[in-house]
Amino acid sequence: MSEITLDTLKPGDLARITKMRVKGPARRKLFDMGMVAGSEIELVRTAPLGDPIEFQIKGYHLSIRKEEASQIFVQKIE
Amino acid sequence: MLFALFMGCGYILIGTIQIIAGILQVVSGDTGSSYMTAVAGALFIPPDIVAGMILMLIGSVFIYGVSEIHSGVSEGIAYVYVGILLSLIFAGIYMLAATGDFLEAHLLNNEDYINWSVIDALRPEIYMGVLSLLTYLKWKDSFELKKS
Amino acid sequence: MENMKIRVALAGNPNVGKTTLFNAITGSRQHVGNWPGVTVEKKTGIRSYRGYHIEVTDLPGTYSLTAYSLDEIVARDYIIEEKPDIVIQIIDASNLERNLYLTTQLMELETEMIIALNMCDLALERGDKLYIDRMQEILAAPIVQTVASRDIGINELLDRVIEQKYNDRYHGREIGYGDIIENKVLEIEKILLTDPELSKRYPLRWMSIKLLEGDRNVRTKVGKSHVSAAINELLASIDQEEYEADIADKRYVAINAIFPQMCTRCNVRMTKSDMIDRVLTNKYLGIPIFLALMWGAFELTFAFATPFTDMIERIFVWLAVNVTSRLEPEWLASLIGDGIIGGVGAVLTFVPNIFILFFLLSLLEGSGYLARAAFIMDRLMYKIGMHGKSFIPLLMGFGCNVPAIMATRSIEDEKDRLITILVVPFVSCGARLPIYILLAGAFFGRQAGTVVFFMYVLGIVVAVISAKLLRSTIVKGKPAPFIMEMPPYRVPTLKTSIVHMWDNGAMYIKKAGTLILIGVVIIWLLASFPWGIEYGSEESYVGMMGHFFAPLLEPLGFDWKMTVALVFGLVAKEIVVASMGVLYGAGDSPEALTASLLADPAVTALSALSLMVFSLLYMPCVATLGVIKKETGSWKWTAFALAYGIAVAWIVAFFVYQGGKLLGY
Repeated sequence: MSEITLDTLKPGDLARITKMRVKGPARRKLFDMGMVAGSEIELVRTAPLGDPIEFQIKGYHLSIRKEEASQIFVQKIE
Repeated sequence: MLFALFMGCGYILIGTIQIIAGILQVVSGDTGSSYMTAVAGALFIPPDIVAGMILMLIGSVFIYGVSEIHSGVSEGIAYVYVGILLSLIFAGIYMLAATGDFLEAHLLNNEDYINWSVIDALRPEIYMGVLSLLTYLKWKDSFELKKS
Repeated sequence: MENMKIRVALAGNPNVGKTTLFNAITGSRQHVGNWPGVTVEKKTGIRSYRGYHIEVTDLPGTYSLTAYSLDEIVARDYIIEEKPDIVIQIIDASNLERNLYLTTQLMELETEMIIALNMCDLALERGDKLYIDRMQEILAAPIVQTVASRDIGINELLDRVIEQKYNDRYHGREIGYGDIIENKVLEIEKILLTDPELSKRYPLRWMSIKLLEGDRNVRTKVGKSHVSAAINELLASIDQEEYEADIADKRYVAINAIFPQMCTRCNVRMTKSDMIDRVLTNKYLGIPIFLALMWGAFELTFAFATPFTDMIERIFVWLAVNVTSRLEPEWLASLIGDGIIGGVGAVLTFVPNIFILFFLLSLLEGSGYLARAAFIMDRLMYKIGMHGKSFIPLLMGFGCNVPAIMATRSIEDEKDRLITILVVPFVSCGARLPIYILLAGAFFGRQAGTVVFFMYVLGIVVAVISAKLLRSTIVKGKPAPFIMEMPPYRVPTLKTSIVHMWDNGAMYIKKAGTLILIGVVIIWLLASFPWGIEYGSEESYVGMMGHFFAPLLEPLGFDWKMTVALVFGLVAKEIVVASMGVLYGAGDSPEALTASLLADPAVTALSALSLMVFSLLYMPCVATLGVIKKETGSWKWTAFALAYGIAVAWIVAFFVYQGGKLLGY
């Protein structure tokens, strides 16, 4: 199963986070919000203008920009 | 759902009328004694471009919902729900505005408002909103959904 | 008597209903201030219950207790320095998993905890099953179920608080971080213990874990001790980033282990909230709906506020006429009449507008739509160098700049916040409208509406350009990352919204009112002296000031009278029209003023346009400056806002006037 980045998912896709390669203060904030390796995450929708993206994780909804999402590696769950 | 279709068309129709009346008013000065204005008057539609656009928007929400339901996406009912919500919100806004007018007319005896009466406040946003409220109360329970 | 006093702190994630619970406990006995030295709001309140005097401090809502944001540092410093008797963590029952993250960190602070499980009704509606007894056992802390918005569970909560203080049953749980990390923790603890003062002051284990995480704030705390060097050496030998990730990871592993025992999910229904979200963030309909709602909000503000505004206006007119006509001596009558009643009255007529704005803002926030607004607008805002969260404050600026700047509190990143605060004053607020109406109406006849519209657009354009400019020069860097929770939609509590409206509105009246009062008195003094001259005439100090500054403003097409009016406008833009009435000898009647303006050869259509542009852009009114000072906490930036505004106004008005002349107007 290949690793892809979070921003390449489509709405409704379910995946598991494998690696967090985000740098800077965003990294810590994302950890706090539950974006850690091993968490299940589902892409809910993208904003009307294309960015940011809304996900469901740990039972709630979180939105982040494509920029950060492209640095988070996941494996799709079928 | 038939209701959504009805509402959707209704809103768009009225919205269009309102926009046209609004444009007419802006373009040709105050009163135009055209057929359009007469129709508008009968349905209590004050000429107002922006409000007309909003009515069309609400109509589109309903229609969008109808198209989703029609093509089998049962979650489309969300659009009907929100359509009703929006119509209620705007009905509320205009009713509060009317309250403001009422206060001006009677409490403050503002000269601009001498001939104002409650009827003047009536506009499509309000009566369409009331209509959707009644429908909602009747069909409230069908808005619960189960996802797999 | 001391024994009957209990100090409680409220902690919790944002959006869990903490404020509602705080209000439910303390009622109206609240005090809002600032945490010392920082621009974070501090709320304290008192509750007397069963003979006990309970002091409640509302800590900022945080997702965690790192050192990355001021809110978090304030929250945890309060707990470890002020050592409250009890810390109540408010947990959103429908969001248990993520809320537990904060719980683990609070427990590491080794403080007495009680958990208030709020919003149980939402969780049940969603189909979650909660096992409270098991929760209490696993977390080793008392749990009280509450529904703060309906005042349910409050008394039980207070009962527990009293119980907890006076007996010592529960102690909270620790998390194990795995062998590798735990070994390092022991090593650090050993080093720290050699400084008895340090190890007594702060919880030992907590310090060690935080040091391993790379917490800058704790590093500083340790830096002052003699063990600092040893600690640094140890930390240099490990990969901090990896430890940081690992520790966060282990916390969630622990939560994953205990969570299923506390709560099980039944079929995940598509909740009403999800349904609404589909529509409101729909690709095609989302933005139009958003625009429609914003427009609706403004319509409502103006339509509903008008009768109240008129009422206030009448009261002041009545006051002016009746009070001043009976006052001797004349100078006092003038002070109170022209000065205070006129000036303050003009500003207070905006109060209904502002209250409604605050109310609507609170509704937006409480319903959860505010987060969606930021979500929808972020892409656009990012392009101009700002964050999605800056959109609503900017929008509010159209009503009044003061609440708009107060609304920037929700922007966490300091730089983003600063830029938003500096840029908001360019948005054309409601107070500037009378100026446009007067001037555009007088000089532009049928095109008046278009001219006014142009003013609004100009304000936005200048705001956007300023944002980009500031980003590339003085406030460098990119906007903060967008990491926002999208809370479920809820029906906002009317009570909370009204409380918010009242709190914020009262603050506005107090702050703005005082500043404006002072400003108005000063202006009156300048306009009435030297002794004996006619109020606001050429010979008064104000007139002299006008003549003094006139050469500076001449390239913009203003004569001394307009300059004076602008000076008056420094206090509040509402006053510009009234002062022009005085200067042009037209009294209170707008028709007379229009006539005299048209008659005066010094005032042409072009200079009127230039005047409108200048009043749009030049310094924020005193009230706005006051709020800027409060929200930024710095004189430097307030002065900058002032100077920047004047500079931009001058430059743009210059181009308008001279450009117009070149084109032959």
